[in-house]
Amino acid sequence: MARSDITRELHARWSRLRTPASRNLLRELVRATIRINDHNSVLGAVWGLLGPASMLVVLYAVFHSRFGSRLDAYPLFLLVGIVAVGFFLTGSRQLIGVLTANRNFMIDSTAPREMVILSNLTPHVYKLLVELALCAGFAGYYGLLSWKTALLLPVVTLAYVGFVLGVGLVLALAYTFTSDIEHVWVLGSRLLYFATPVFYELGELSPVAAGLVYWLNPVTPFLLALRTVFFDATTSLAPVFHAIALGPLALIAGYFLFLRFEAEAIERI
Amino acid sequence: MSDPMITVRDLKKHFRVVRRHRTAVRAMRALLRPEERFAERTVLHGLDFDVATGDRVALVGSNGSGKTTLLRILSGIYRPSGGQITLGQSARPLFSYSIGLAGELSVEENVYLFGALHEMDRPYLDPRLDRVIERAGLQSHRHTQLKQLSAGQRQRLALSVFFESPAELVIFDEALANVDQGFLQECDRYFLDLSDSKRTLLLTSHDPSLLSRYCRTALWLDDGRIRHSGPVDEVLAAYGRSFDESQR
Repeated sequence: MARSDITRELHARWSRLRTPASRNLLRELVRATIRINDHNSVLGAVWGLLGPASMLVVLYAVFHSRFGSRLDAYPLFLLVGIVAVGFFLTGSRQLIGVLTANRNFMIDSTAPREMVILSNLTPHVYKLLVELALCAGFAGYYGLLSWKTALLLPVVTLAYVGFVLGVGLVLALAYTFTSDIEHVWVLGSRLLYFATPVFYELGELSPVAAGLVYWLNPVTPFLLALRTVFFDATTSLAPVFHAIALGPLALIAGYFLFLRFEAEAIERI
Repeated sequence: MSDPMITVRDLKKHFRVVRRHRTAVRAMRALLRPEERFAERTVLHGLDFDVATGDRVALVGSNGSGKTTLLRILSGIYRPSGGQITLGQSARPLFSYSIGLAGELSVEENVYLFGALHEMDRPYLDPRLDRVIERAGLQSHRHTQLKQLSAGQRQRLALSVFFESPAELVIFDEALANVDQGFLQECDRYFLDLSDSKRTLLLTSHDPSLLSRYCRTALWLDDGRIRHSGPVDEVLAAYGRSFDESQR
């Protein structure tokens, strides 16, 4: 597809996504997804929090004496890491198979496919928001939350959702061309809790290792940006700016590739 | 002849079929030597036809003849590989009644969900809700989870919602298969209303009686080519004869 075709397609898509019918479809899909996923009940949300809570207990028990002794708010430090990495893992995992899992929707419906993809990510975004609210509660308890940095939270969250969506779109396309992308993802996801500063600080690594973890792992800037918010660390705003730039970039690149290869991908599923 | 709703010229569609199971290594190799990894399969070989506004067209042909592919292209789901298509209005197709229905939700909630998929929102559906549920024969199941209904009941619900669509160009791809006698009367009423309006219909079915009852003209697709077109009974008769000849 030539560049002018992509621009025309982008314009046509954008016009279509803005129609009341598309917005209504997204609303109904999100409503259905949330109801089906039990998130509309208090108990449903509690079940969703059990995973991060148990992870927090285990990581605290194992790493507190080694990495957390210098930090008063080590539980919050861990929780922010678990929430950030958890959202990336569950969100991208959901999106890898979104085209194949919704095959009938993709090939037998004229509804904008973006709406189905977005609605699939919704429960994970909902869970992320609940978990971030919990982090904010923890930060308030430790007396770390300030209004100044809290204002950054919606921007960083939005950028992170955009990032996961962008990566997810690429993974979903790649999965239609090569099914073993899922195995690569499973392998990578196992390493992600160690390759991201979830239970350690970057400063505890050698400069080379810290550089690798920061620049080669795109989840790291988002995690550090969230920690900046919850720990009121206004001295280290660089990850915040990095995250705010990276999120939209990943989304634009992912969506561009989606438009470019969507037709071929849909014919393969 | 009234203005055409659909104009198709030299429409072609090829699919690239993957020869072997898709893996990362093979996908990389395919980038370098696509001809070794893919086989090109031509499904539509340069179709030319027009459909007048308000016409009701049956699309017949054996399995694999290209009917669904043609309808997906007309609906904008697949991109054509060549040729031109001009539509007077965007098409509103029903390929499968299971898409957009959620088993965990109630019948009523599914009306809104399935309606949204077909561009009908709550303000549009609210005054029609009772009629939709009544037509589907599900008055006593309004708050029942959809998964507790039979496949036939789900089909009736989907069709009943779809019948409310105000689209000017509607497409049914085998969506009326296995409809029970009771609901067939509702279908009759819908298609009768459709024939009184200026709305255009494209219908595929393997049931000739349905096609001759609801359609005025027909297109017979054979291996991706139009073999015959004209009045529905004439095309259906020719299509039927082709089976007799092949059995001789």
